[in-house]
Amino acid sequence: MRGGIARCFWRKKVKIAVIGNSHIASLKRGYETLSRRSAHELVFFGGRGLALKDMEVDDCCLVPTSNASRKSISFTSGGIDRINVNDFDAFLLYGLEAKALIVPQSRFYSDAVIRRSAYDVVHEKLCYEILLKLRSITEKPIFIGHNPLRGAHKKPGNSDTSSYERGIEYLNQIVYAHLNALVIPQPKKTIVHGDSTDILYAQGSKRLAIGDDNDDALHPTIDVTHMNDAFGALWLKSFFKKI
Amino acid sequence: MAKKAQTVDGVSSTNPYEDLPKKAFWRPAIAERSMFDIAELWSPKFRIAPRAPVATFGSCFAQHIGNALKNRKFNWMIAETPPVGMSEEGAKLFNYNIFSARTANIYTTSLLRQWTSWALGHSSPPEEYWEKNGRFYDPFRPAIEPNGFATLEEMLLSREETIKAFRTCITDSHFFVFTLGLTESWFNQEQGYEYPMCPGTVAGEFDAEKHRFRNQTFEQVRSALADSIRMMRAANPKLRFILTVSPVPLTATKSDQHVLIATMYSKSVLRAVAGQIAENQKIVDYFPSYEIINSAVFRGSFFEPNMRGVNKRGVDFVMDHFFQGLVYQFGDYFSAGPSRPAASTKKLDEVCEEELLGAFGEKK
Repeated sequence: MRGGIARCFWRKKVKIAVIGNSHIASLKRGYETLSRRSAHELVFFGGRGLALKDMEVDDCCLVPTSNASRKSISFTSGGIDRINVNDFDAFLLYGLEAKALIVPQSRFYSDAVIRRSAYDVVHEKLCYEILLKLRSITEKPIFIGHNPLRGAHKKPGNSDTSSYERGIEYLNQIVYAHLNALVIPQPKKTIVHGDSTDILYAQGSKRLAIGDDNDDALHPTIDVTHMNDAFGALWLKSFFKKI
Repeated sequence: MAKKAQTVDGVSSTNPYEDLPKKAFWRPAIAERSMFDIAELWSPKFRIAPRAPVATFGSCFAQHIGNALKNRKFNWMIAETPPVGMSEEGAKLFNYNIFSARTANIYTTSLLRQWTSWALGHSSPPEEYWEKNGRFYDPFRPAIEPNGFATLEEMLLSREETIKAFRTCITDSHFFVFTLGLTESWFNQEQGYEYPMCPGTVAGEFDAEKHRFRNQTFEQVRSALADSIRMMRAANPKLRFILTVSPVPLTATKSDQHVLIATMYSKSVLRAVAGQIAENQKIVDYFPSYEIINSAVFRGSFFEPNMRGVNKRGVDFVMDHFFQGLVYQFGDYFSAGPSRPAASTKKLDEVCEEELLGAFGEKK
C-alpha cells in the first residue's frame, strides 16, 4: 500500500471518528457484529445525503451549522454534537460522494488524462470538502472510503480487479498523498467484473438511523448503491488490517 | 407516337412522371408545405438494428450523429473510452467520446484511407513528431490533448492506442458512418503522407519546402474513399457504410478562390463523390445532412449568425430526419423520439480543429 499513513496503528487499538452519509449505515451495523476485542473503537458521525455539507471548522472542531445535521450526528454518535479532533486518533471519511477511479490495465492513458480523471473523481465532492476542513485543523491520519461500487449480478468471466486497484493507486498518488490521506480499497472479495460490487452485498441494505421514522428501513430492492451489514463488516475488517 | 408507360397495377399512363410519388414534385413536396413538414428526404438502404454497433468518424458534423445515436439508445460504438470517473467535461477536453476512437476530425477521404491503412497494417505511421516547450504533439492529432504529451513515448503509445481502437471499429462495427468534410488538404512533400491540419496552425512549424497544399479533385476524393471502403470490407465483409457530407462551410481556404466559392467547390465535389459511391455500391448509403441544412428551402435558418456554424435546431432537424427515415422505411422498431428536448436554440459545443484557422483571419 502506498502513502505514508498505512499501517500507522499496527497492533494498537485506536479511536476513529467515522464521518459519512447514508453509506455508513452498513459500516455502523457491520461494526456491531465485530468482536469487541479485536476491533478499534469507532464513533460514527452521519447525516443522510449531503446533510454534512454544512459542517464548519470552529477552533479544533468540525461543527454542524444546522439543527438537522446537529441532531443527526448527535444521534449516530450517541450524543456527541461536534467532532473534536483532539478526541480521536484518526478519521475515516466514508461515502460522501467519493468515487472510485477505474483505469483499465489493458488501455494506455496519458499522464494528463489520468491526472484529470483523478481530479474529476475527487474535486467538488463532499468528501473532499470535509477532508480539506479536517486537514486544516489536524495532522492526524485521515482515511477515505469511496461509495461502494454499484451492485451487479456475478457472471462468469473476468474477475480481475487490477483496473480498480490501479485507479485507487492513482487517486492516492495524485490527490490524497498531498493531503496525507489514504483511500482504502473496497475488499477484493466483494468485487465482481473488476468494477462492481457483488449484488449479494446490496441485498437487504438499510437506511442510516438518525432518529426519524425511516431509521433502519430497507432500501428499495432496485437500489444497488447501498450495501448491507455483511459488506460493512467485511469492509471494516479489511480496513483494520490496513491501518 | 409516344409509347404508353405501364403502371404497377397494369393501367397504362401517358408518361413516366404521371405515377411518381408526391416527393418527386417540387410543388407538393416543398412549395405547399411548411419547411418543417418536408419529409421523405432519405430512403435508407439498411435497417440499423438498435443493438448493431455503429462507428462514426469524419469532420466536425459527424460528432452529432454519434450523440444522436446515443440519445436514442442506439449502439454508438466507442472503442476508446476514458477512465471510469473522468467527467464529461474532462472527456471532451481530451477528445474522448467525440468519435468512435480518438482520431480527432478526419476531414478528407485520403486521411480516412491513411488511418485505415495504419489500422489494418498496410502501412505504418511516419516517425514525425512536433515538439514545443518540452511538450510533444502528434502531427496526425495535433489538438488531441490540450497541452500535448509529456514525452515522445507517451505520444506514440497514445497514437497506437487510437490505431488499435480504430481497427476495432472496422472489425467489430456493423455500420461505419463517415462525414466527408474537406477537399483542401496538406501533405508531406517528401513522403506523401497527409496532415489533418496545415503544420504551423494548431502545432508544428510550417515549411514551404516540405509541406504542400492540395485541393483534391473528384477523382482523388473518390479513389481514396473507394480504397478505404475496399480495405475495411476486406477486414470485415459485413460492414456497411453511411456517407454524409458536412454542411459546415470552410473556415478558411488556401485556394486562390474566395472562401464562399472554395466552399461550394469543396462541398460539390464531396457531394458528388458520396452520391456516386452510394449509387454504385449496394453496401453504401448516402444520408442528405448537407442538403437539409444548405438547401435554400430552409432559408439559412439552421445556421448561426456567422452563417457557418450549424445551430442545435438544425442538428436536431437533421437527426430527426435520419431516424424518421429509418422508421418510414422499416417500421417503428424503436422509440423515434429524442430523449432530450429538441427545441433548444442553445449554441452547440462541438470539437472542430478547423475552426482554429479562423484566428488567422482575425488578424486581417
